[in-house]
Amino acid sequence: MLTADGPTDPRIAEEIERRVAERTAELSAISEDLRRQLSVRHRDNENPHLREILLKSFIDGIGAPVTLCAPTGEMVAVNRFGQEYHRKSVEEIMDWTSGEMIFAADLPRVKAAWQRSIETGEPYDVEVRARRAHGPYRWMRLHGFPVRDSDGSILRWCVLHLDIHDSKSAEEALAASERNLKLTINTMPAMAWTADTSGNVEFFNDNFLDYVGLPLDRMLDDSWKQAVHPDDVDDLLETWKVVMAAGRTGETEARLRRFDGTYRWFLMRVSPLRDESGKVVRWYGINTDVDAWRQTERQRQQAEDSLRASELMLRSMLDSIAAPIGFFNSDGELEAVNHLVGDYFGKSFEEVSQWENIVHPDDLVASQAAWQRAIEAGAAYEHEARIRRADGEYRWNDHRGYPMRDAEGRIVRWCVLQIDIHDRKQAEARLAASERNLDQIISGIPGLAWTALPDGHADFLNQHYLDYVGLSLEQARGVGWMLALHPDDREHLIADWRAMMSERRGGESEARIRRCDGEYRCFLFRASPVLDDAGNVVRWFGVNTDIEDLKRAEAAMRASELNLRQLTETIPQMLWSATADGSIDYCNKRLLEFTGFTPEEAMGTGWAKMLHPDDVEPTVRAWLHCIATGDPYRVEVRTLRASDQTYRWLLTSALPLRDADGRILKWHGACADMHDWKQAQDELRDAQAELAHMTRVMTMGHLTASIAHELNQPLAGIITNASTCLRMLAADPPNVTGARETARRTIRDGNRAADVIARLRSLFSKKDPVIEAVDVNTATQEVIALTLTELKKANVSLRVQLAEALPSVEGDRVQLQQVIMNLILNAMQAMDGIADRSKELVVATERDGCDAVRVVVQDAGVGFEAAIAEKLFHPFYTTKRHGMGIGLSVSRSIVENHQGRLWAERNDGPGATFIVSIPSGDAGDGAEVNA
Amino acid sequence: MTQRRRFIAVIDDDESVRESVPDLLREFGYEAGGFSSAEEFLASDKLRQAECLVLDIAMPGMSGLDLQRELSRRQLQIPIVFITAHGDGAVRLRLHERGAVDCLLKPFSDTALMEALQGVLRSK
Repeated sequence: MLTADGPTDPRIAEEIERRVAERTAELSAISEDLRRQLSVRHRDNENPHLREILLKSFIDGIGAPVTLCAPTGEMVAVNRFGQEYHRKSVEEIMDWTSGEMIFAADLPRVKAAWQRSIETGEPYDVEVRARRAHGPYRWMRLHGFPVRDSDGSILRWCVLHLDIHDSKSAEEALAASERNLKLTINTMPAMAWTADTSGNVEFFNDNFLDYVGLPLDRMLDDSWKQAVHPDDVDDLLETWKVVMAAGRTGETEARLRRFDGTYRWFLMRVSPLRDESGKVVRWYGINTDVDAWRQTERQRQQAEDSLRASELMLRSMLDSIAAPIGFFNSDGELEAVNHLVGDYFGKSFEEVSQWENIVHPDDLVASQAAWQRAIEAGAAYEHEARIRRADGEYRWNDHRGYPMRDAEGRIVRWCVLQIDIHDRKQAEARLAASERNLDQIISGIPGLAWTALPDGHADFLNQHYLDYVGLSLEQARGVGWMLALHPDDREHLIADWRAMMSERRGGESEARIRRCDGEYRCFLFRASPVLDDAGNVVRWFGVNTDIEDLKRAEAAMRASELNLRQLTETIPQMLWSATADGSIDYCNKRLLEFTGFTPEEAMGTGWAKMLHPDDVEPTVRAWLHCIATGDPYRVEVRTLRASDQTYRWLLTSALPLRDADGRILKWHGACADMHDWKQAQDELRDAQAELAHMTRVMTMGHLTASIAHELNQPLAGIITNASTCLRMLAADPPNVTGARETARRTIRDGNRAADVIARLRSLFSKKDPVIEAVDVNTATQEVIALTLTELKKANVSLRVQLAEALPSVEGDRVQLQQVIMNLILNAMQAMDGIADRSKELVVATERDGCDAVRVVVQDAGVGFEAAIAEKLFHPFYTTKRHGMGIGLSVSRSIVENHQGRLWAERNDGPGATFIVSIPSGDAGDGAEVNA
Repeated sequence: MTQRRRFIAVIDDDESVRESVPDLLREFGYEAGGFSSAEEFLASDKLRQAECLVLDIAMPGMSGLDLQRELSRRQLQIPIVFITAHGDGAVRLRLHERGAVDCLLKPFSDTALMEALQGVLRSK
């Protein structure tokens, strides 16, 4: 830190000191060297002349201007460098005091100094401005020292000229800068100070000292702390410590006592000065008087607090209103909004201030115009416009603005309330559209539509109505529409209408209306009231529908029905009908006469009493099945005939009547007396059975050899075993074990023979058919066993191919076996006399589709012509010499009685194939029953 | 010294006969065995031991007559008693023509069988 006399910037001071020291050292070194060398010369040569020459030659070798002077001060020599430097001759240089070589102002000082050195023999050192040739003056430093002889007498003065102009200029510039800096620091409108790295204050500027009224020396011994307000000292020192520790700029505020004892607030800011390595070398501080600002700030703070409180209150009031609210100044510019505005628009206050940001482009001009009018008139503002909500949707809003006035009635502010009426608007639009639509519908109704007031007077008739009756709306209004009523219908229509009005209920009536061409047609009047919440009629709506055609159709239908009823009553058939759930609702006269039941007795489920007790259960089951499934109903059932109290077979059938959707509406049925036909059928069946039996018995003749063989085999075993047994028992000792074994075999063979006989008996006996499940494979194998011997005898090669897992068939086993046997024997006979090929017979069983089983008998015999394929099955048709021609006929009857088929096919090669197909037992059940 | 018992083969596809006739023959002191077919007999080691055959005429595969023909072809002179469940006279007549001693009709008595057997054995 510099004193107040010197440069305040320590860097400058240090630089100057450094340079002066360098120069001084440099000069001292040169002087000492000269002196030493001159002394050496002097010792070496005491000759004055020689010494002079040596001295001159010596100075010529020095790289700086050097002059030699006599002990009295006159210049005697100038070295070569000096001549070149000054660009002057030796003479001109020697005459330095008279010319312009030395700056005139410096000459007296130089002369005085030189004179003093001459007189005292002390070295001579002076700075002077000299010029080279006629150039500008430059600062030179003249350093003269005496050259003495051995006894100390001065022989010569040696003067060294050093050009110090550049360094001198720098010094002056530094000094000027120093002065300027000092001036700046002391005149700056702040209190400045510096401190060393330990925090000790080194300098206070004049402003600082003037403010506190203390001298610098007192301030520097830490008395400055006494100028700080006692309440602020600790904080200030603590902040100062923290800032120093951090090595960064810092600031704090504290009160400083002025010279007059008053404290004022100062902002104290301090920054570090760093060297090239970044190390802090000094701290600079500035204290700025902020007292006035703090006063103002305090007042502002109070005003702001007050304002904030009132704003808060106002805002809470605004925010409590559940609608966006905006406040505008008297010029109509937006000042404030409640939070709902932000929520609604999703925009900042500034964005909301711009109308075009939020108002629908189509509504913008009108909105702004309305607002402008309100501003100008000072009247309340109400305007509806579409506003863009945060989600981008434009929604209808109602804006209501009210002017807020001061005590003098001047408008100070506008408060504008925004209400979203979008939903209401849309509902109104829908209602309007709906009303328009209703009008269109009423007008478009292809009937006569009308409305009436609660008192019954018509107030609207649609165009169809008016066109139809040929009246104008004015004519038809009120009770004018009655002009078009048929006179005979007015009374009852008015009565019906009054009844509806008095009871406030909808209703209908029929009346004829005269068309514009004069024709009366029947209409159905239908009216409905519209009631308010109190149940009062607000309006009547009515539609009159032309039912003339319907009426005529009804009449025609009635006539048709009558006709139909007459038909059903007179037809020679027993007819009946039932509801969809199966309850009888009609029986014609003929049916009632047959059964002797009254209509009441036959209705519902009473009909079951007509039936034979044994037939009731299957018939009711079949009827319920048909009602549930809609299948056609067909039963043969014994029904009581009243006339002779006998049960007769009736074929009763019924079909469902369905609507367009397929739902059953009714059942229509008929009963036919089939008793006589049924009896004939039974007789026919008996005859057929007899015939079948006959054919079986006839077949027996063909099987005698087989039968004998089948019986002789076990008989042979029986007799042989019995003989053996006897012999074993007669032995001594008796062979009881062997006898027991042979007796067992005897029994076994006896049973075997009994089985054969039982099979034969069942096959050839005459008995009623027994319907049972028949395994076709087993039945076929039994027949084959019976015919095997015949086949062997006829040299027929038999191939049996029985399919596995065949379903059983429902039928009479004996009859079916008879068919198979007949086909096998036929095949065998067809191959009789065949010698040119193998007599191959194939008997196979197989499935026929999914609901039947086939037995196939294929021979390699003579075959048949295609033309006689069907004739083969005709009774008494035969191709055999001794045949009767009934075998295939009977076989087909048997098969058909089993709902099967029997037919013949020609083989690709020789022979024929006969095929029997019988429905399998697991085929679907039909509703048909044969009771 | 024990006399070797004569072996008689009974060939019939009927099990009753095949079981009962050998038992009866053994009661009469013969060695006997049953064969269910002509093929089985031809393949057995008894073919060379059999001194007489009780042979069914109608069998699946080779018939009794076929076997008789085969034995002749092999030059095996074995006496045969034919048996059959068929009372067909034509077959019996054909057998006689071929030199068969007798043909028994099933069922036959033990006496008839023994007589027939002894008859053919004697003629051997």
